[in-house]
Amino acid sequence: MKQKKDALWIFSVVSVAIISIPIILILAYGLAIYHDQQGYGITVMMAIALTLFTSILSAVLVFVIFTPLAYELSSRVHRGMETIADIPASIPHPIVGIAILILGSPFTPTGKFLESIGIDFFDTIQGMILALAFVSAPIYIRSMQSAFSSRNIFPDLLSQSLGASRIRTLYGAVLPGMIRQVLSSVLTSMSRAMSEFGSIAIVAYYVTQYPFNGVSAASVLIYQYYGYFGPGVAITASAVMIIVSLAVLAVARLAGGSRHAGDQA
Amino acid sequence: MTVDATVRMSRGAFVLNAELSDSGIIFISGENGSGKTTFLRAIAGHFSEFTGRVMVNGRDVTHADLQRRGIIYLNSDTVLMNMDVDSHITWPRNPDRYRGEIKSLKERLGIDFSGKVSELSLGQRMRVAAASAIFHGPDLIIMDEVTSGISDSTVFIKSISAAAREGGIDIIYVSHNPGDVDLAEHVYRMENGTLSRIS
Repeated sequence: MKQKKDALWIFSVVSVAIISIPIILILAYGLAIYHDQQGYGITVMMAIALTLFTSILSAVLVFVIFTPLAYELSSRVHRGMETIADIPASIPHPIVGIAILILGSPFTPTGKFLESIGIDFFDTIQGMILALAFVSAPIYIRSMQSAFSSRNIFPDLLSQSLGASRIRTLYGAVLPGMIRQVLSSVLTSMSRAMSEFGSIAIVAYYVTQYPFNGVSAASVLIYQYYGYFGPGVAITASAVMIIVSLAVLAVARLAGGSRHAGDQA
Repeated sequence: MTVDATVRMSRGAFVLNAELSDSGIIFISGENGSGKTTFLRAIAGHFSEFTGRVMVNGRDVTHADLQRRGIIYLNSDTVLMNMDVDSHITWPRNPDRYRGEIKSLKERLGIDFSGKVSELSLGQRMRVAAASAIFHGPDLIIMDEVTSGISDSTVFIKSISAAAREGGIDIIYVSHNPGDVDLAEHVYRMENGTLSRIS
């Protein structure tokens, strides 16, 4: 049936335009009008590689650590836990960076302990991954919580009645049937990580580890370019980064499967 | 083996006040919305917002976890879709350790198919779910309209009942197939949240 273009449709188109016009402008100016070769030189490519590498690992970390929490929140009411899970999304991200620095500072008990086992967060890949995992966790938790909640609960109850613990039920009976939703949520979390600036500008303005020695994340590098060279190089680098981000988002959408109007979320 | 359950609760205008004390193969009839499923799910431990108690073989399981309750509830949705037939039957145990038991149980329940559960018909899935329940030897199996998608529902219930009797398992079942009631040892009827024994 052909859908009627009503007032709601017009509002939706305007909303999409508000989001997409700045993106289209950056692509047009970055790749054509203000085109600058430095914008996709080796430095930018290494920054994008670092961003992808750390975002992928942070998404894996988020999957491993936060999937049980998402399942718990979908099956039982925990107001306190839900509020705490949302904290990273509600505080300015430089604060997250400062918190991670304090966590790893040799002047704090946690930092002394981490130092004793050889873990350092400042200007390191692990520090960047931790910051990205922290800020992208709420998006993953909410996405998976929604996916778990929209499922039929009876298989879970059967699994437990047959003797499986809740954690065994999650990993053995629930997650294997939700590969697409998990992949979609992980990629959405990864997309969020790729866009992060505030926390990593403090924790790891650049990293000092092989193979990314002296390399900054793409968001930090673009900020640097904007400050040093003005908008020209920064816009070209931004356009390249946007293309990479759109590719990840497209894969996330495809992984999540198509949804038809009227389907339940 | 005895099931002794008293469930009292209200949801809006609906009041459930049902009591069942019996053993063997028990059939519960009743109109849709009469409270059968709510009563059975309370016994199964799917929720705890009710007053009363659930005793199975003299053991109070009212507040017991699902894993330690000794009650398995089956309906048309209680299937672990991502598993193959043998893994489903023994879940969460390793099927490789129970090849003999799986073979005899499958023969007994007419499971002559294999493969992923998600690729089976509704009737085949229900047979697998019932086989899982029998395999684990609970005190009570509840079958809530599991025969709706099964053409030979009478044969299905007969085979489950025979296996259950042998294992000392009580069964409570609900079905809208007229012939299924004849297989029960005891018959109850649920009307407006009240359960009465018919025979």
